[in-house]
Amino acid sequence: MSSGESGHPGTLTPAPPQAGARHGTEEPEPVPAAWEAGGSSPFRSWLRQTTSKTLHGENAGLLVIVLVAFVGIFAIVLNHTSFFSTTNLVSIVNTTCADSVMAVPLVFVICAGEIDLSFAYVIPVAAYVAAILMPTHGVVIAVLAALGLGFGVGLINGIVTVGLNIPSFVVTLGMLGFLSGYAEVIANDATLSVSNRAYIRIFGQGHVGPISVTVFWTLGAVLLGVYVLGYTRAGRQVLATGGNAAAARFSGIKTKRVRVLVFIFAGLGGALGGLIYLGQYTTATATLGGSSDLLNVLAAVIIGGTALTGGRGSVVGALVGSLLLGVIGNALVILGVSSPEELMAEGAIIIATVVISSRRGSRRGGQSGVAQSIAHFVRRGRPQELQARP
Amino acid sequence: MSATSPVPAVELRHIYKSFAGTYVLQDVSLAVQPGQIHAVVGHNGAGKSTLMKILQGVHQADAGEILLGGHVLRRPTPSLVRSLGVGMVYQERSLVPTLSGLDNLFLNNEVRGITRRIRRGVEYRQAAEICARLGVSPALLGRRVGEMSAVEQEMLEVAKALRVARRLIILDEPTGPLGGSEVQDLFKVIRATAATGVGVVLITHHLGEVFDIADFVTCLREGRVTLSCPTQQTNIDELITAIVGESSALAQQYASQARQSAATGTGPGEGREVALEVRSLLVPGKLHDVSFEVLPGEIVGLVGLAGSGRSTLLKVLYGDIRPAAGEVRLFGRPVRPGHPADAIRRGIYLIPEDRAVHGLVLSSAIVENVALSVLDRLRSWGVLRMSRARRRTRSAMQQLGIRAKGPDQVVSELSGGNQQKVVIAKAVQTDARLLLLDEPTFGVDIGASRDVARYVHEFVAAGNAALWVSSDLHELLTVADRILVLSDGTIQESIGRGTPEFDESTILAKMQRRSQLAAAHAQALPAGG
Repeated sequence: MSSGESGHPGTLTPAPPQAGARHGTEEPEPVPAAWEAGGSSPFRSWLRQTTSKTLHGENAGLLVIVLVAFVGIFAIVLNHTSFFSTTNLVSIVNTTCADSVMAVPLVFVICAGEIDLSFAYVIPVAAYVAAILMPTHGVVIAVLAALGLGFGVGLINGIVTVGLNIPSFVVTLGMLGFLSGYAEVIANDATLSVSNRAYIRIFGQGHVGPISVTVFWTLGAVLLGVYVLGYTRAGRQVLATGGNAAAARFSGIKTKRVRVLVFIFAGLGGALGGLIYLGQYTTATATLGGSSDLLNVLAAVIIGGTALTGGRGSVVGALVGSLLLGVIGNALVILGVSSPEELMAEGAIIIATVVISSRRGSRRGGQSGVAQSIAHFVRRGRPQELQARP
Repeated sequence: MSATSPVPAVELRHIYKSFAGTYVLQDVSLAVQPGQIHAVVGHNGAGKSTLMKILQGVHQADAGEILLGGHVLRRPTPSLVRSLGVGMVYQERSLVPTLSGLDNLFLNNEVRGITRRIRRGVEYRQAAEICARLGVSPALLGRRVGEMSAVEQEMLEVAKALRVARRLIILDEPTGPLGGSEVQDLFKVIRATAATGVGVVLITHHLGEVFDIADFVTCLREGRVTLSCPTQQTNIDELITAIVGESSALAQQYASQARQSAATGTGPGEGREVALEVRSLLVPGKLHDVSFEVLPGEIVGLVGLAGSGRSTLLKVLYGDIRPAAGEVRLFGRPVRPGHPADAIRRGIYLIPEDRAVHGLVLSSAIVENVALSVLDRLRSWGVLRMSRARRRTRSAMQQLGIRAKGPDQVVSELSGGNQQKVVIAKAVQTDARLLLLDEPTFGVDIGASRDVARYVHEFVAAGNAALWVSSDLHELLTVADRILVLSDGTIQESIGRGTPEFDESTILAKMQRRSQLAAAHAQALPAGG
């Protein structure tokens, strides 16, 4: 079904009469269970809808399958190593935590049609700010100050981009440079440790039962992101701003405000990432964060199905993408691949992902993403099914 | 089907409006009854859009009154007017392509629960009710707008406006991107809307539509009302006169010119070398076995439903798409353009469907646009001479009747008709021998449309040829010597002027896809006119 098709009488005639019509009544078609918040067997219809979406590459389902596949493959190939041990798998979750958390606001930024390159460089500055303030002012002030810094960076990014009408790429690039230099200035060539046990337990190394605290951070950020993006008016406003800013404005959405807000979220995300890293490593260094986090987060977001053109995105996809990159990176390390080579491998994966994602992107209404491309590839032999989509 | 209620849904009384000392509206009065379909026609610049903006509260009138349901509106603002039940479907789409139909319908107006969560179940119920009223399948709500066809998007726009419009809905050029049967589908929806008691204002350039669907018509020319009466009491000639202020004889002139040249053979002649010959063109998925001829002096129309491959065919001829197989000959010599530059060099020029995207650099001046295809010829000693460009532009502006402040005016400030003339001026520079026109009068007022038609007639009379793609069958029947019907990926028929099949309903029937002919047999053919 191409968007140019017309005159399909089926789309425009009233829906075929269902049970009620046999009795000649004019009962309106019952609300499909999928739309209902409650109702009979909502789980079953949700399951059906999700499965259908997965098979069409509409959600991150296929990505999850890819992730599981990769883990499986590595488990087999690296049988003789510690890859498939609990310790190792847990460590993958831990190391990807900060990136997964930061990926959530990035999904919003890109959905709004913007981009932020500077969030990864908020990490070292936020970490230092927190580390400096913690011994003298306590945990709360330190955390608030770090978050306040993230807020401020995002605010500046937003105001300059939106107010002066400069492409966000350029603005955040400049901010990236500024922050990276500033991190070194603050560091003054010294690393700074934190020893506050409460802080370390909350932000990095604590456990609730057997579950590491990083799981809670990751899940919390992801769940919040999923809820806001998919189930609130604010989420619709972000998607509309990125999907068609003119239409959004016609509908009364204050697109300028939306755009500034997403930058603020990205800044806050960066600060939170810094706090998490500080908790995990207990030391602030000038090299915290930086380009590798930038790469990982952006790649995760894109792999996860968020189109760079804006208007559509998946928070769950970004999480899966982040885990996928974590798994691959972990396996490479176990294989003894050196750090630069690992970076090369990651870069290659990112390019491959973007190429796969964009091959479908240009055709229909902006569909893109690895999941869709995989679905398309698998279904190539059955084009009729693509046409018959309801 | 106008209600005889004495209280109009909307009434504008003696509206005056001026911008910077010039009056754009003088003593304009308009009344729309509940359930009435009221067409508003006129040139671009005649004041239609200003009038609608005043109605919506975007502009404030200098004098006069606006009444909604008999109550005077003192200081209308857009949100106030919306809350009072006036909805509008804009000419530019106001849908977000990446969101679903349902989300678009409720954009920024979502039904929310306590936790700010969108209650899609409730929304769906409301939306399904609107869909039922419109006779539209609610399946539209679950799909992404970007994947919908033009007519489905249009339906969604109407549904969106209908959510707000309890009293009046304004449709600004809704049929622009739609083809024959799609227009009828939209009309069904419009009639259903009016049947619920909502007043409908239909702004359109397609005069045939006025008599097809409107109960009442008001015509504006240069800020004044020149005609305002039930459609039954007038005819198309009177309407044209009211719009352009000249005798309607001019409108007949082109039809008779074309007939003349066909009869005496001074136009498309026999035994002359064929201007364009296309054989067995194959573009997988779009066209298979397209073959036809165009003779010098002919304007050949090309019709087909959206998706039939009309634009693809033009793009193949222009070098934008490579065919998998087939042959194209221009004046006997084979051409296989791999790029529009090749096509231009061989004398083929395309007037594209979407001039804002493919035809013009909107932020540049007229002269810069006109020079775009012939930059080589304007060079001297390696330097681009703008003076040459300006000279050419000025003469083109005169030849085509482009109304602008001068060759240095920025194109984005011109009206749709004048913009299209700039695109043609660009083509004129290249000494083209074959002109490909893709919906050349879309969004163009009637005066400029006739200028375009007149120019194309002169163009082919000089021994060249033109291929004219249009959804406006009425217009093609006036302008073209022959009409090719494209459907199911191939040219079904070539219908010449003067033959009994050269009429709207026959051609519309032939445009339907064979796969749907079986269904069409069961229904009445869409009425022509």
